[in-house]
Amino acid sequence: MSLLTIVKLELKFISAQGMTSLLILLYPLILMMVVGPIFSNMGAKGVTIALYSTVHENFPNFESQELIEFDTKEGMINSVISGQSVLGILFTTDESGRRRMYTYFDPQKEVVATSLAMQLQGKLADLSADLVETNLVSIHGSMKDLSKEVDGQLQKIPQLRANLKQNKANLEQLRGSMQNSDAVATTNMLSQMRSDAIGMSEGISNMRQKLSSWEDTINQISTYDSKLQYYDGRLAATDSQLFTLQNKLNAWDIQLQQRIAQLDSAYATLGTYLTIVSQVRATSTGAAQTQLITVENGIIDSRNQILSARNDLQSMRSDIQNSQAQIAVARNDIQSARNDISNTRASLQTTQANARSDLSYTRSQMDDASNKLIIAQNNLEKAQANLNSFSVLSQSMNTYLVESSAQLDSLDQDISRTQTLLQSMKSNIGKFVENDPRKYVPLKLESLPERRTLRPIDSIFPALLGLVSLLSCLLLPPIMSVKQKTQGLRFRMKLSYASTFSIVIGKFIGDYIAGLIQVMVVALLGAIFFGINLSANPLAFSFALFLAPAVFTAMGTLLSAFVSNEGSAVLSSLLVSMPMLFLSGIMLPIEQIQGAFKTIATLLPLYNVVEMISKTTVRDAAYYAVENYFVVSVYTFAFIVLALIFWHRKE
Amino acid sequence: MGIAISLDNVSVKYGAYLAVSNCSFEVEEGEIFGLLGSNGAGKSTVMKVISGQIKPTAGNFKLFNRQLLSAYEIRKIIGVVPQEYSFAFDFTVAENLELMISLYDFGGQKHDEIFDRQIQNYLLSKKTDVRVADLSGGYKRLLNFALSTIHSPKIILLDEPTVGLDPEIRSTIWETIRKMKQNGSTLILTTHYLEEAAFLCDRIAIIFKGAILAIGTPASLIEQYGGDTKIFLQLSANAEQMAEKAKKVKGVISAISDDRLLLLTCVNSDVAKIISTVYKMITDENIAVKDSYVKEGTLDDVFKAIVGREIGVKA
Ligand SMILES: Nc1ncnc2c1ncn2[C@@H]1O[C@H](COP(=O)(O)OP(=O)(O)O)[C@@H](O)[C@H]1O
Ligand SMILES: [Mg+2]
Repeated sequence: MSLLTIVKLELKFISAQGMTSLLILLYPLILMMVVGPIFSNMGAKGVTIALYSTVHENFPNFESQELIEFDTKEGMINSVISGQSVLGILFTTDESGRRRMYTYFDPQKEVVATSLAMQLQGKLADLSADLVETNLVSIHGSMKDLSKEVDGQLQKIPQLRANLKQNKANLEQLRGSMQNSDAVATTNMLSQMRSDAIGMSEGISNMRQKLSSWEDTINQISTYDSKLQYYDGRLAATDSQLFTLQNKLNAWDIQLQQRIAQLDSAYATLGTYLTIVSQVRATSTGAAQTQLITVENGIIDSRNQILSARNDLQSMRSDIQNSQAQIAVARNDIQSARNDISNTRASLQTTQANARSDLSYTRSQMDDASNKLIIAQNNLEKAQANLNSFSVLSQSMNTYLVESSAQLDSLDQDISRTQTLLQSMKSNIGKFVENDPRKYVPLKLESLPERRTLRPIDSIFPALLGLVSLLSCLLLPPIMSVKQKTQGLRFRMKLSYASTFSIVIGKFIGDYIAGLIQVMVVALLGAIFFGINLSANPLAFSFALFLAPAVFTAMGTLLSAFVSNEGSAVLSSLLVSMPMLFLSGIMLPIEQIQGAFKTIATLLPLYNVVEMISKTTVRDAAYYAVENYFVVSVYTFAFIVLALIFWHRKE
Repeated sequence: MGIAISLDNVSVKYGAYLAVSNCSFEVEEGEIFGLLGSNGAGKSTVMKVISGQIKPTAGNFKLFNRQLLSAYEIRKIIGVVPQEYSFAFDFTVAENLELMISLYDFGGQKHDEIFDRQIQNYLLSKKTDVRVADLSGGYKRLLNFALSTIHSPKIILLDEPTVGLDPEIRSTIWETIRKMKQNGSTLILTTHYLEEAAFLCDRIAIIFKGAILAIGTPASLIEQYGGDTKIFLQLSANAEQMAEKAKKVKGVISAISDDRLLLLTCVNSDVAKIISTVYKMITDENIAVKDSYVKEGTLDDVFKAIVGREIGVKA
């Protein structure tokens, strides 16, 4: 039962070791909990793809990846070289216009890049398939329908053609029998004409009666003329009487004129007397003067009477002159009335003569028309008879026309149906034809000739170098520290005059030199035994080679501040290095890591060390290693400072 | 002679554990002061306080009457010889010594002088090129001394300097320690070897569970706490009778016999006088003393008396 005892002993020891055992047993669990999510959330998502496209066509959208478009091929290639993009794509057309897609990727990232490229190809194939499906398939469907329809139409065509032939024959026949005929209209016209002819002959006899009454009227014009002659005579007599009156009034006027002249001279004479009298009166006095005044007043009275008599005469004269003027007007009126009468008579006589001649001409014409009408009536009778035979033909023609019209309608429907089908087919074909036929061809992926290829050992070498450096440099300082501690050297240093700074930095430099020699040897071995090309960027690579052990040694120096024995030294460096290893892109491509882990990963020292080594060697992108140098340097500095702080605190 | 080290009510706690409590003592310049106590009594802790490796939780401590010295000042004054071997096992003696001399920033001429002096003082001249791991325990101790005294410290702390060594080597070490004293250093050594304390120390402090229970020269301590002297005598005959007689001798506390064995217990003082009196008494009766053994009061007894148990049992 010693076996059981040993088992018990072992278990007891494990439980007795407390923290160490707990760490040993718990750490893998913790690691699993860290690594688990990384692996469970794997798959290249959110990976950057660089695209340079010369094709004016939308590149398929990669929902889960980020597509960055570049204006130049160099830009795209640089994006890959710098590590910004995992896959570069040149989307272009060749001389013959065929679409071409070239891939470019860092050979170190071949796995991820190739899988992305395959995904992309799948996407493109899907697009082609979609195109084919949406276009060809629908065209095919409509063609199928069309084909059926066309079959139906084709079967109908012989019947249609027969119908058409029949129609044609019928119409031909009709045309023969109906040449020059317009039967119904003509019939109607004829009957109209016949009734018109009857109406016309009635009209003619009415007109004859009218013509007789017109003749009476014309004869009556002679009576009016003689009456006018009589009125003219009367007017002439009145005029001569008025002339006599005129002369008499003239004579009266002259006499009145003479009387007025006499009165005027009497008035003047009296005026002269008056002047004399007034002169005398002025010189005379007394009675004589009084008498003279009386005489003066008598003369003034007489003169006033003469003046009033003269004015009366004068007004009489103006009355006479007015009368004279009225008479002259009356005589003019009479003269114009007589002129009118004479004109009227002349025109009446002319009118009568013309009317008579017209009448006789009209009578002769009417006689002629009447004769012709009789002849026409006879002809119309005959035409009617002919037309009656037409109406029979017309009816049969109508029937034919109705039939052919229906047939033509159905023919029209068929044709329009065919038209619709052909149109839909045309639109489908149009859609199909719209696309460049080369689009239907799934794209092949080809590699850009610029792309380098690496041997697996070339790809893995930077990681190897980084890993070797990590494991050694991380472990060396704490292990040495523990060794020195157990041998009491820590204690000795502490009590010597050496400062913490000297102790920490000195230790760091010592371990660093060892680490540096180690990576140099590894690099040299790589170059000699595996033919790794380290001469691409010798200066940049040397710098990376110097930095790599520095950061891990600094980290190890920091760890040394906390570890007390070799177990905890190994355990703690394991604790630190394992997650870094998982997140360094060595175990699984960093592009496959998702979310925050990816960000963390790209910020961890190991990733940056591997990156700077690979950029300065196999990837030949030394320029882009600057950022990694920076990160690594910052870490180195930070670890050293922290190491100083913690060492100092511990003392 | 002044006071090199003085502790005044110094207490040290490790967490809640009181490792040293209200510890007070003074060490005079040039003396060897011993801290005697079982494992875990707090000896090393006291040493660490003095060497500035830990700060006391309470109380004051002075070096040459100066308090609150900086770590660097303490380092210059004190040389600590730790309980454990403290050197690089894979280096040779010379390499170790050279390394430490460099750490003390002694260069050039001084370096070589110190090197030679230490090799000489610590008897390492034949071992300079020996890998330290291959050294015997005694030389390892000596190297430990050598490495701690490079800077000729005024005070040297020796923590259990002979633990685990065989008696022959131990005496060599003791000699070396005496020489260190002769060279003018003040020494404090801790030990749980009573005879070591008795042999080396001018004064001893007995420490138990972190507390100093007694301080004094070994003789005064034995006198005070050492108890009675026991005298064993193997007689040819008449042991019973002689016991009765011996009881009457002055200074004899008790006398018992068993067969021919006579055991006397007497006071510590006048032991020589008692022995001669008893011897005369026996030979007067024509009885021969076939064998004898005198067990005087020792530090063991002192320790037992003070602590209540034997040393070596963990406190
Ligand atoms: N660093 C420490 N932490 C906790 N306890 C300690 C520490 N060092 C010593 N001790 C404890 O303090 C007590 C005194 O220890 P120490 O001074 O080494 O005793 P000694 O040297 O007398 O054997 C012991 O019980 C020990 O277990
Ligand atoms: Mg101790």
